[in-house]
Amino acid sequence: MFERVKRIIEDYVRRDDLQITGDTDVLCDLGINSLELMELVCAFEMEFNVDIPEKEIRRFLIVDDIVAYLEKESAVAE
Amino acid sequence: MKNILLNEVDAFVDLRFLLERSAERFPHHTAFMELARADTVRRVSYVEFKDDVHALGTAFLMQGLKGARIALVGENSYAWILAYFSIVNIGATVIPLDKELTPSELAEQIGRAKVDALCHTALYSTEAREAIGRCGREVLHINLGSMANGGLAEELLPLGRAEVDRGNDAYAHVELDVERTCAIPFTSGTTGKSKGVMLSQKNLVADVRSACELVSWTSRDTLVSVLPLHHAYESTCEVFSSIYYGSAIALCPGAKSLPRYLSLFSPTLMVLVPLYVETFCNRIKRAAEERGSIRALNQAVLLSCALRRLGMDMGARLLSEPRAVFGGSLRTIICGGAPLDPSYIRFFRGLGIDVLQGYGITECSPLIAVNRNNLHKDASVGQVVSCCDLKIGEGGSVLVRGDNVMSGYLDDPEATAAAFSDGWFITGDLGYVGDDGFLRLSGRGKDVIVLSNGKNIMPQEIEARLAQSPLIVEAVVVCGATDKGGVRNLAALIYPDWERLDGEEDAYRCLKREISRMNRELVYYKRIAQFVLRATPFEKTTTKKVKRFMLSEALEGMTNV
Repeated sequence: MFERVKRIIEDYVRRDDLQITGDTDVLCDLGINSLELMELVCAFEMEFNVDIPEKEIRRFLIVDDIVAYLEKESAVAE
Repeated sequence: MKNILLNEVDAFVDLRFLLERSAERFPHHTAFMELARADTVRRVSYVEFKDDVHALGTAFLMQGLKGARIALVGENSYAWILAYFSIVNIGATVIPLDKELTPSELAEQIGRAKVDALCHTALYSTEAREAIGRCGREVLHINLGSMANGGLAEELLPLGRAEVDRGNDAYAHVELDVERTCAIPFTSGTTGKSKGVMLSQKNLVADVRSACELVSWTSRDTLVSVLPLHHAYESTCEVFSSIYYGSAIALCPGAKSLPRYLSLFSPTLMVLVPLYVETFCNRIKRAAEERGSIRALNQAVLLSCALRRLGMDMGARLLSEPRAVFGGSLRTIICGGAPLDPSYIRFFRGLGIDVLQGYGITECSPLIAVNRNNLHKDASVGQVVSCCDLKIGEGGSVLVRGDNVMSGYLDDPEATAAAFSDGWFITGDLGYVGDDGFLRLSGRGKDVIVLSNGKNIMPQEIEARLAQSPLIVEAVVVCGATDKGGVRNLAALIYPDWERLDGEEDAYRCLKREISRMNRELVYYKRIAQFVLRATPFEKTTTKKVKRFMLSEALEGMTNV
């Protein structure tokens, strides 16, 4: 899951210098603003076929938060 | 100075009259739209809106809510607007709450406003229930449901409709006192703890009328509402003004859904804050870069701007691809809430989209000035609305008085007294009105730093300088914690571009050098004496203003320049 999330982020931010880890801050480290984060979340929704409510997005502080949310949703779907 | 008469605007005394006027003039025209699943559009016409308000208002009266204080929380939705109008039209007071607050914060504001009932949309049931549980008051809980997903006010609307059908005319007989407080929005709290702003029907109506006198659109226009409705800026400048014009508003529940709303509804007009304008501009440029056509885009924008100066609007034809980001029909953006760099205005002009900057403050319902469709200046916030007088006080302080100005802060006579000077409301902003009659802002007076040598410093001016450095992402200038020779110095809290720096030690070394270089270009009392680096960006209010009051404790560990 982490690798898939990481790949989507890398595709979105397109920065070679960025080392994405679970602790990477989704706004500060990725250098995106709150609106761009919404766009990134749409990419997760398409990849994982889930609907991520905006209320949940506000809880995404680091990459691991996203991974944990998607793992939980995938488990529910199965 | 070019002088254009104000648009002629019909007289209306309260929001009920505004609603009834539009229901009469545009009965079957779409007032609001929402998207249900599978992109099905749910629509409400003006006459349906009026009938729904009548029914829900009647149901509220049956619950004994006349004169009550009713809090309202939810995403942008028809349910939210329906509740707002039903509350204010029965002589009750609406307290619009920020949906992004935590249940504890909601409970605190519910308690402080002595709320009798809380209305919420289906999406915010959990938060509402939790807030009511924590607020320590008996609060009536009203679920408004959702139009998009079915079940709009499932209990109260049928009840109200049945009562109206039976001949209950209590709603029609409510006499509205236009001077009474009808809405208490909380300010975002940039300058301290949030305060409840007491606004009357007279305040709101005066501001809507004045807004329409300066900015015009028509019943053929479509808007997409994405800024939070609990802000007076969104409710007054977008929703109430659109109701006046009989336009259709698509209610976008959040920023994530915005691209879908733009593509499906192709708005002709939008009300935004700079964050959106900047992000859209960046998105368009990034897409052009990826396609290798950034040079062509920039040339087309320049050409289009030049043609517009000659009276030829070719933006839609020359730049149809970037315009598609907004759905392809956007003509006007009204932008307020924070200053916008004029370069964005020029860029959008090239696309054939006029960006009209405005200026306001919740305490003024909120609009104070706005540029006009046919008369606008990039670096200004426009002409002052006709319902208020504006004067420039000491040190350039912008003062206003008039029908749009609040009566005071809720249960806070001290703050109210401090907010007025001889009957003039102190906006806290600094500016001047040019010979052309346009208001220009130069900073925010309430953030002014007064040094012990009597010099007043506008931190924004120095912050802008600091932000020019490639090593600095954001900076906030504050009064330093230590004195030097009896003069309190300036200090900077800096969020550097950590990626350009090699760790903390390197960061402090590089920034010290950078600030020293900048200091040489500044008059002595504007020089930065100390600084501290931050690991994270500054916390901001929902309107993206830095919460300066939260930084007063953040002066520890300062490094001298």
